[in-house]
Amino acid sequence: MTLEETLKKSIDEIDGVFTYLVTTRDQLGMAKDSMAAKPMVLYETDDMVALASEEVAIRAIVPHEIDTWDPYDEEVRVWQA
Amino acid sequence: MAGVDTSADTSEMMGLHTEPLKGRDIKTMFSLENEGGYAYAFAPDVDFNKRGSVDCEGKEATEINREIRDLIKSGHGTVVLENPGAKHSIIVGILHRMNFIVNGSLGYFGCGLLDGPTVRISGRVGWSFAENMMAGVCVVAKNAGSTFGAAIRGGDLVCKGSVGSRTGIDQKGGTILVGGDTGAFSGFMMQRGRMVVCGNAGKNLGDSMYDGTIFVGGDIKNLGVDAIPAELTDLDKAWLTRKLSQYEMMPDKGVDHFTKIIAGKQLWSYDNLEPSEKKLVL
Repeated sequence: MTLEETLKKSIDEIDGVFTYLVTTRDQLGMAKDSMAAKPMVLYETDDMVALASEEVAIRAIVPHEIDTWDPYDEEVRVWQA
Repeated sequence: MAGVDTSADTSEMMGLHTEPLKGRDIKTMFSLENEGGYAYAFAPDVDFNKRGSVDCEGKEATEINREIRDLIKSGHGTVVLENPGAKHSIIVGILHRMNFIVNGSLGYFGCGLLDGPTVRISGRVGWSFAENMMAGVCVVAKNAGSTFGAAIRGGDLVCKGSVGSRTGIDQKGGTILVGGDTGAFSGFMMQRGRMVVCGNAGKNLGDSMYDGTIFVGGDIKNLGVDAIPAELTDLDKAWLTRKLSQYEMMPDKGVDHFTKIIAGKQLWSYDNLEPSEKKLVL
């Protein structure tokens, strides 16, 4: 089972509200619960991915104005190193 | 109260609600001619042409808000915020007419408890933007987080990008305009007002809404409990055209394709009796 498949399965199997990150040796993944009740702000460029519960945390490493967005409910994303 | 019009059914015609208000509720509409009815008696005398600025770099929210209030006290009617850095709880509790220009992004709970000002934001905003707004205009150029416009009671709240989940949760009036998509549970427990989403809407749209109207230009994943489609009238189309044009958000294909969602009113179990009337009945 791939990381993406595992994350999608976890949305049904984990009880409660959550947004979580998981890493492997060469992958970064995120999963958001079906209620979208926990915050997650995503910033992505060609050479960088930054995720945090609030944009001000991302600004600590990217101080200039950036375009960010909130992933939606049951959204799963996986990035390959 | 001067300038209050209780005679017409203007609020119903405008789609703000369809519920026949009676009992303890009194339907009132402020007259547009009543200039004095839009601000509190203690509102500071500001000059809209007097512009001041606050550089938010390296400052906490409390310090930034204090500087804003100092500028207002000295008569500045337009305040420009530079380098806001997505900080939380900035521009809160402003209860009179004035202008704010934010060059950048705000974090959580930006522009909360507003009653009158016009706010233009060039970046994005975090969760719970403009919560409990009572009057005024807020325009966000980019995306917004979840609970955008939670419990607003009046004014125009505009996001030209996409917004997160639970947009307009517990909305009690006013207008929310979204240029892009909105997430799950938008319009949850909506009680009054109108919401317009030009893009797609997530699941459970309008769940448990009591009243009010939601217009969606794109696809709706599914409707929530007691939210039902309704006919898009000519009055609705005229209002959508005027409102979306006003904020330069008019879709290329017009407004005829919008879906109108209202409350099915199957969950209503109101008690309209006054306490004294109830005693008589009992």
